[in-house]
Amino acid sequence: MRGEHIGELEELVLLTVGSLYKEAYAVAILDEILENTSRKMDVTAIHSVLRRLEKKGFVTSEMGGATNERGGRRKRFFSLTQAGRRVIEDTMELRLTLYNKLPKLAFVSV
Amino acid sequence: MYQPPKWADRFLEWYCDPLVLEDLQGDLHELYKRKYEDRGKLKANASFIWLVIRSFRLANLKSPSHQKNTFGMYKNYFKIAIRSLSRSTLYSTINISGLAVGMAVFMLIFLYVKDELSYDDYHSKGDNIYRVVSDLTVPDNFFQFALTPPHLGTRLKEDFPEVQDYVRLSSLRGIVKLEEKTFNDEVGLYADPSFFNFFDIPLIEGDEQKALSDPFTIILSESTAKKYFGDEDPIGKLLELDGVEQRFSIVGIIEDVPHNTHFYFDYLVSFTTRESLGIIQGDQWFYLDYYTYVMFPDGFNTEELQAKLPDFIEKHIGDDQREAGQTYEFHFQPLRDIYLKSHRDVEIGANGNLQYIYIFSLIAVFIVVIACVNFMNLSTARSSKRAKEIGLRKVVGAVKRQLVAQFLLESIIITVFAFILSLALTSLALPSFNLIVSKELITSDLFKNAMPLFWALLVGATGFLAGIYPALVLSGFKPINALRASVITGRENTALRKSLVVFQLIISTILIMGTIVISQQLTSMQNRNLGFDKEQMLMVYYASDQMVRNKMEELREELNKNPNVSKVSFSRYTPSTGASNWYTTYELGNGETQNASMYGYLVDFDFINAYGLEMVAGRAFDRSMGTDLDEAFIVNETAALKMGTERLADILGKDISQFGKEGKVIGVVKDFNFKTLHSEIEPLVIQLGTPGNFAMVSIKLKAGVQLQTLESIEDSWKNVITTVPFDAYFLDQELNDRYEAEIRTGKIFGIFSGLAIFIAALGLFALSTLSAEQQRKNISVRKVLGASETGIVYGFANKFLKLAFIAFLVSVPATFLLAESWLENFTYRINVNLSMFLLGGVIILLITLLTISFQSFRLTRLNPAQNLRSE
Repeated sequence: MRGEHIGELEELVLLTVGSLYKEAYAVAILDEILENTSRKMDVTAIHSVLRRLEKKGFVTSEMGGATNERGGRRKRFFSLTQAGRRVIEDTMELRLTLYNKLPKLAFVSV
Repeated sequence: MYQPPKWADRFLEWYCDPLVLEDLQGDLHELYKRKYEDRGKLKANASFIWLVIRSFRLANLKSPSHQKNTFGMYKNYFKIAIRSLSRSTLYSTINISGLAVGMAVFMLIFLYVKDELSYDDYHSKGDNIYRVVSDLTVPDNFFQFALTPPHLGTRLKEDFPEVQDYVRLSSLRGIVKLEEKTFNDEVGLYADPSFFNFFDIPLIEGDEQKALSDPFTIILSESTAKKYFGDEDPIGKLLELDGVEQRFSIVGIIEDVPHNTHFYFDYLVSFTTRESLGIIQGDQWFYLDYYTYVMFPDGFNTEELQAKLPDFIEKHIGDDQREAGQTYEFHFQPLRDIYLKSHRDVEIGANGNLQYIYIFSLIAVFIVVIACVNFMNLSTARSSKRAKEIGLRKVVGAVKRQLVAQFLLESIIITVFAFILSLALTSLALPSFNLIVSKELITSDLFKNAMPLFWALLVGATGFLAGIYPALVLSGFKPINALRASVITGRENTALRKSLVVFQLIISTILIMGTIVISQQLTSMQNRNLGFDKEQMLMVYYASDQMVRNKMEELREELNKNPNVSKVSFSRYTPSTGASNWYTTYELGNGETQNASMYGYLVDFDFINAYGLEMVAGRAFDRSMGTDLDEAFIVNETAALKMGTERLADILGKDISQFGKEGKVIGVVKDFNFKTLHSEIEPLVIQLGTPGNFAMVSIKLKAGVQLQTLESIEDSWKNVITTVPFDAYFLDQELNDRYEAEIRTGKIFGIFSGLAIFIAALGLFALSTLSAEQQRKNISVRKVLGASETGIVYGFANKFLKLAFIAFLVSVPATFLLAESWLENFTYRINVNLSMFLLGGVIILLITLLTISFQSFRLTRLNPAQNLRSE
């Protein structure tokens, strides 16, 4: 199982990469997360998470075409790999399995 | 435009890995723009800077593995360098061996010069030690002595607080007697106890405080102790020194004098001995027999003291000076300058010569330059072979700078090879070199202290010097020309190549001519008619041995009985030993009396006859004249002139007194060189001495007597004398030894010019080979058209001989100036004449011709069909 474990933030970024599909570059991911979770993140944090994911083989990246904004600098677009897809599914499955084992109603009285 | 703070941007670009930079920077700029529109410039700037700083993390930094990979390129340079070296064995061999010989010569000279410069630099107080020397002006003459009067040190110390301490040294030479053994000609020094305070030659055994304080005590050097006593402990043993009745007790062993010291001794004797013997009495200001060294405080300026000396001299010697008509001046010499810079009369040891150090260093540099020139010439001449490679490299994208670097690297690789080879050559040559220069140099001295750095710099500099020109030429090729089928001959460089060859030839020619001048000067000195008969003269030095003195007449008879001996003479000095300078009073031609310092000889009746001295006026000493022993003097021509006579005969009968004897001149002897040829003949007064004055016996052998008959003379000697060993030497040999420094210089000069010529010839050979290669087609066509062999050889050799001729023309005036300035050192010098230059010119032309003859004859043999068929 080693290497297939991902953290919460990694999972979030991975999911966002997946959902953005062809448009997943750092700033877009930042916006998407902000929109969906209201979580204000630092772009440098996104960068390092993406690099980590790429190293683990869950995403790949390639440079896009030249742009007119950003001084003509190209964007690096990320996309999910097979392994990335599977690790999301594994995580979801694990959660679902555990969720299903949850008693329908549970309170702990204090 | 939304422009974030430039410095932050630049900082980002500086640290960021180029692979990451583009999108990271793009993202930051995009966010900046958004922030700028939403919140204004200030906030946007702050946020941008914050993000740039936040991005400064390890993962984003430039890493070495992401830099340009030039390793492969350098690897390729090395590979190509080795390949092009091994492809042309001849040129590489010539290049490397030429450079190696050049560097080996450089190393040898370096070791030699370093050793010469290291004299006396090991004394820890060396900077504060000065030697006092005397300039003495006497009527008509001026002397610069290394010696001082006996009590100068004491008086200086009394009068000037700056003089912290002084030490006196005085030479004594002669026989050392043990119980059974006798050693001849051992070198000793009298020294004050302060010796150990001045010089860093430590005692191995004994007490520094007491070692030199008691009279009749002696300290042996380590190797002398070994020689005298083997493994026995010498401390407390007694020995006898030449002419001193009281025995000396050995109180210490001192380390051997380091060879780089300006004096030498086998043993030290306490100075108080001299006082006990009564040799020093009172102040005796005109008795010069002592070397005085003084110690000053740190950073002391001797000029201050120098300025006070006139008063000092007036106070102590003023009256004496006026009475004697002689004037002193004293000077201070830094201890470390003595060996190379002091050339005074009666030095304590043989000193070196700064001039020779300059000459040798110059030769060393020249030889390395000649070797570098070889390299430059060959590389540019062979440039056509590299043209294709250079063209291709340029097409693929090499820039000029890289090509220059490549060729420099190649030449440095060659230099490194040459350096390694030169180390081997140096270690091989060092033993013979040591014999010539009579030193004990060792190879490991090449790597002491910071020396490895020096050699690395030298290798780098040599490689750079030799390689920079070819590198610039080669890298300047236009790819289009280089890649075309036609061969680039590098014709545009021929002028430079020729001038480089001429330059080499000039240096070689100057060295050849210099060698000729030096050797002729030396031969002329050795063959010069010295005015006395030096052949077949055997000398034995017995100093003041009592037995010889007592049995002098018996010994003379015994020797005269020997059938091999023709004449025997006893004397205090001989022409190989110099003479004493004594206070002399004489009557001038006009009857006035004058005082002067003149050299004096103490001889016996047979001396003038034995040495074949010629009387030009008056008569020689005569046994039958009863008064000769008490009052006869003979002077040489120079002295006669000085005594103011117009005709030599006028001087006969004039009054003269010297060395405590008053008498009259009975004869004038023709001038002979009683000192070395470095100085002119000076006035000399000869008088008869007593056995107690004599120290040498001269035995004239019959003509044709061979060395092996020495044994029979030794037997005669031993029949009478048991105390002094028969250590005989030949006068002519001894005379030659006095020119050792010159002979040594001549040898070194000869060897190094030989090597320089060898290196230059190597280069010439390689060049002629190349030139022959390039002219194959040319010559083939000529042959087909019917050129004669001589015509071909002439055509080929002509160019090179022209160069040699130009070199000859330039070298003549250069050599003339150099030779003249060297010859100025000699009183009896040859004149530089045309024949020396012509001889040198013929030699260089012959060498050139020989070097290229191999190739020119190969050209005459070549088969035109083979060379022209591809056309």
